[in-house]
Parts: sequence; C-alpha cells; structure tokens
Amino acid sequence: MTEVESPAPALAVHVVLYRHTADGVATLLRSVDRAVAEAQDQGSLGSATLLIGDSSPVPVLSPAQVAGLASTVSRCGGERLAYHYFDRNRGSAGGNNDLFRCSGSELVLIINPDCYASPGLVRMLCAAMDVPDAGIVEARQVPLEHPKEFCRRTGDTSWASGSCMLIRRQVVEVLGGFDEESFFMYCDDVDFSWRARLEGYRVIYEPAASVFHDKRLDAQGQIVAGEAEVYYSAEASLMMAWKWSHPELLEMDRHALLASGSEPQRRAVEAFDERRAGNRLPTPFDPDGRVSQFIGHDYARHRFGYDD
Amino acid sequence: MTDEAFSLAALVLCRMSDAPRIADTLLSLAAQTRRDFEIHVIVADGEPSGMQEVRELVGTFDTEFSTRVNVVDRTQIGSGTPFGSGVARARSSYVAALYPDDVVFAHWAETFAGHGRRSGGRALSSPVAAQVVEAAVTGDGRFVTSVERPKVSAPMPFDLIEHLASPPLQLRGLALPRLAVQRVIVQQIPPAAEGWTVRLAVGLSCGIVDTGEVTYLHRLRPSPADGASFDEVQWVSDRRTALEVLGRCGLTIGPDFLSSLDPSTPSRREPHAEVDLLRAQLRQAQDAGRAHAEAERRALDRVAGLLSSTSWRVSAPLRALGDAARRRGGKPRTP
Repeated sequence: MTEVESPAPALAVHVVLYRHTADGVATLLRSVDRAVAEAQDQGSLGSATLLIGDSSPVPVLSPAQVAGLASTVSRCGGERLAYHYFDRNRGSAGGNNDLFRCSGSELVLIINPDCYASPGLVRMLCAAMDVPDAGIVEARQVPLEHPKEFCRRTGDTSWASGSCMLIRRQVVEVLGGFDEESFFMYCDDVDFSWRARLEGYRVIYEPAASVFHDKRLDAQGQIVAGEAEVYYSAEASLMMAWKWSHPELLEMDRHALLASGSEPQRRAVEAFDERRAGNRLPTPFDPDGRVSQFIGHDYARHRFGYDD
Repeated sequence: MTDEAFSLAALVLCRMSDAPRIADTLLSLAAQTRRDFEIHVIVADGEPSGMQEVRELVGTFDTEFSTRVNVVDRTQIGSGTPFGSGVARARSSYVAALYPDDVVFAHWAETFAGHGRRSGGRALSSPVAAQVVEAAVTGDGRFVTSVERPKVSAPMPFDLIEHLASPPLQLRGLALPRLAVQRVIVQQIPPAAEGWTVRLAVGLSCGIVDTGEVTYLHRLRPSPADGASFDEVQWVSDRRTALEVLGRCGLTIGPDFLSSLDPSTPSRREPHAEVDLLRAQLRQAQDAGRAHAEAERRALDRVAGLLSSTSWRVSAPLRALGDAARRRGGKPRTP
C-alpha cells in the first residue's frame, strides 16, 4: 500500500479592524499575501482566504477599496478576500469569533491590523505547527519582542499573543472560540491559550517567524499605552484572576486599582463589580492551577519586563 | 525648509555575511507608516554570490517594498566607506544610517519627516533605545531574541566638548542633511572615526535638533559582532587625522581651534579626565578673553539681527559662532 501524502492545509487569515486606515490595511494585506505566497510556493500551504472584520463606527473600506485590494493581492485576492462590516464594536474576541464562522479552513492566522508580516511568517508558523499536539503557534514580534519565557528546544510557552498567532481549526471547535463574554479585548488570547492547553494542545513560540507589530516606547523606555488599553487591560486582569481561580489575587488587584489606579482603571473595577453583583461572571477554571500562571502581573515567567 | 524640500534616504550598512542580520531591519523599514523614502542597502564587501544573497532577501518582500530597495555593491562605486557610498547614491535631502540587527519603530520616517519640515536644515536626532539580544537558530530560521528590556538614553544635545572627548560612535538615531555630510565624507577620514567626525561636522555646521521620539532600537549582541576591541592609541591618532581633515573643510570653527582642543599627546586619560582638561583650557581662554567679551556681545547682537533675515543654512556658521561664544559666557540672542 502506498502512503498518500495529505494535501497542504488551507488557511484563513483574520484581520479585525477598528478605526484603522485603508492605506494601513493595504500595506498589511500586501505583506500577508507575500507571506502566503512563500508558504504556498514551498508546499507547506494550500489555498488561503483573507477575512477582514470591521468593528469601526463607519466602514474603514469602501466597496471600491475592497475591490481594489482584492485585485492587488495575488494569492488571497478575488473571491478569496471577504470584508465584513460588523456595524458595532465586537472587540478582538467577538470579531474573530464572527470570522471563525466564515470559513472552514484547517488553519487560521490571526493578525492585528497594526502588524506587517515578514515574508517567511506563514511558512515558519506552518512548519512549527507540524509537530504533535501543536494547537497554537505564535510569531516573534519586532521591534518589541514579547518577553514571555519559552523553551529554547521545543518552543513551548505559557500562552500565545493574539497579535499574530496561527491556530488549528480543531482547537477553535473544541474550545468554542474566544470567550467574548469575559474578554472584550486583552487576555482573550491568554484565556484561549490556557483553555487549549487544558485540552492537551501545545502552545508554541516560533521566533524564526517574525512579524512587525507597531508598538512604541516612551522616553523612559516603557511601552506607550492608550486610554482604551489601560481600561481594558485592567478589566481583563480582574477577569483573568476570577476566571482562573485566583480570588485572593483578584481582591488584591481590585484594591490596588481602586486605591492608586488611574481613572480608567477605577472605571474598569466598577464595571467588574457590576458584573459580579449581577452574577454575570464565568464559572472559574483550573482550580488546581494545572496551566494557569500568575507571576506578578504576568501570565508567564518573563525574561524581562518592559515596565521594570 | 518646506514640506516638499524634506526627503529621507535610509542607508542600511552591512557586509555580505550580514544578510540574515538585516532581515528584521528591512522588515521594520517595510512596516513604516510613511513610505515615501529611499532605501539603499550598502554591502561593504560585495562579491557576486554574497550580493545575490542580499538581493534574494530583499526580493522576498512584497514588490511595493522590494522595488524601492536599491542594493549597492560598495566595491563597485569607488573607494569610499559604506556610509559615504550610500550618501553618494542618495538623492534625498536627509540621510539616515541603519546597522545590522537594528530596527526602527513604525513612526521612524514619519517622525523625521514631521521634524524635518520644521528643522530649518538642522540634523535630527531621536533618542535611541538599546536592547541586549542573543542570536539563535531554529530549523532554517536565524533570529535574535531579546534578553533585557530596552534602555533609552536621555537625549544628548550636541556638546562640542563632550563630543571631542567621546569615543568612536555610529550614526544611530540621526537623520543628517545630505549636503552637509557630503562636504565632510569626500575627505579622507579614517573609517573608525567616520561617525564621530560626521556628527561633529554636522553639529558644528548645522546644529542638531532632538525629536524626543524613540524611533530607533539598537539591538546589541554581547559577541564579537558588536564587541570589537577598542584601541585607544589608534583612536587618538584617528581622531587627530579626522580633526585635521575637518580643518580643511572650511567649517565655521577654524582648524586651529579644533586642533587646540585635541589633547596634544596621545594620552591614555579616561574620557572624564579629558573633559576636565578641555574644560580647564576653556576656562583659561575665558579668563583671557574677558576683556574681549563685551565687544563680542555687541557683535553677536548684530549676528542675531542678521539671522532673522537669512535662511538657516546660510546662517549656520554664524550660529555656530554664537554657540561657541555662549559657552564662553556671552548671551547672544537666539533667532
């Protein structure tokens, strides 16, 4: 009996927009298309579709701009490019969940709109996914690499950043997608990774797969964060402590944010308290701490901290 | 300078063997929020096979970007240094050097463009973040991974005395007026002193403005790639040669003045001791020139008047004179 080689997997690329520019989207899509082409030419990828979800108050792309993009990208263009205007802000978790339902591809690449794919990105991520039990593979971010620790031999890591991650469709189906009820944005990726690991999937960091992510430093060397980021990060950190069974950490963070947090952070605490009072919090997970890691304010051991 | 007059050329300086080390550099240039700048990759030691590797790397990027990148074999265009060759190739009003492993943030070009329009022809300087990285290889991928948080140095306004006492440096974080640079690098400057000399010349002749935006990440490998040993004796000799060359360039501050600031003996003094010595020399000059100061102030008033009616470039020598006088206690009006 001859061994039949399995066909190269199909890929859906997700991009969720919120008030981004059409020009920036075009730049990203060109880079993604090039990365897809390299993976296809190397035989590690089959067909690819590009799914753009838009959570903005007004559409980022006009029909003519969508048509223009579809004609300029060669591998993900034409009918393989679809634009979905959500007409409300779905956040990153909800937006990606909507896009999950738009395709059945074996692999899904989630990439932030403020990213730019390196030419080898998709090829390298696919290669890293081709190991037993791999469920999620994360790219290395440039210029500011995420400081999470990872196994130098296997790439195994605690969680994968949703700014650029490749996911096996099977993981999405097993987990039911991101937990959009608990996480609007931020930590939806940590939660998704930990639930995947609870199901026995590996989360792998592939530093040879690079992606540019538009993060910036202030004059003190700290990452610049906008008000929305401050608010949703605080909200997400409280939710993480609750959902992943760390009530003592939750109370500590609550008090710290109320006592000395910024105005957006205090609002985030109030919003969390309202949910708790309304009994609208998820059932806690992983009470024995099999996969969750709360180390300081991080969800993995870090090689260094950007705010040290 | 008007909006139309500002343009930028990125000069990626590398050797053939550096092809993997400029992959992230190119990625960061491809991801810029503003894309109307020139890109030249200057390969110092070009030969056909190595050049092909660099060209193939560039060719892996999307065509909108790759067609903007000009790969230059430095050996084919004369005897200049890689930076000098890049400056000679560039057509933009400003040039900026990038080195292997280093990357720029997405607003690098945008920041320079924004400040360039208002700089009046001065050089632009952005604070540089430095981060220790280590090289690694997995499968067919080569990359660097960060081991420490980036550290940002406080903005360093151009200071003649500090600069003269400083060790060799590269041109990270700077966008330099091309014509001002070209006047210097056509001369025979020792390669090790090139960055130091260019910054000195530009600082004196044009002035340097700090953008305040961190746009450049210097990724340091604690390895021979970045850690070439520093030969201080050689450096003192190179610096003297560079100062002599600058003296022939017709800069604002004359050759005798510059030469007088160079320690006459190739001592092994620490930089801070050198700074102390230079400051002492300046104090002596200040004492001796006290009687002269009043007349100088009157002259500087006239200079300030002239500055208000001439373009910045034309007035640069006068400004440098004003800066020098200010250090000696005068208080010229700034334009």
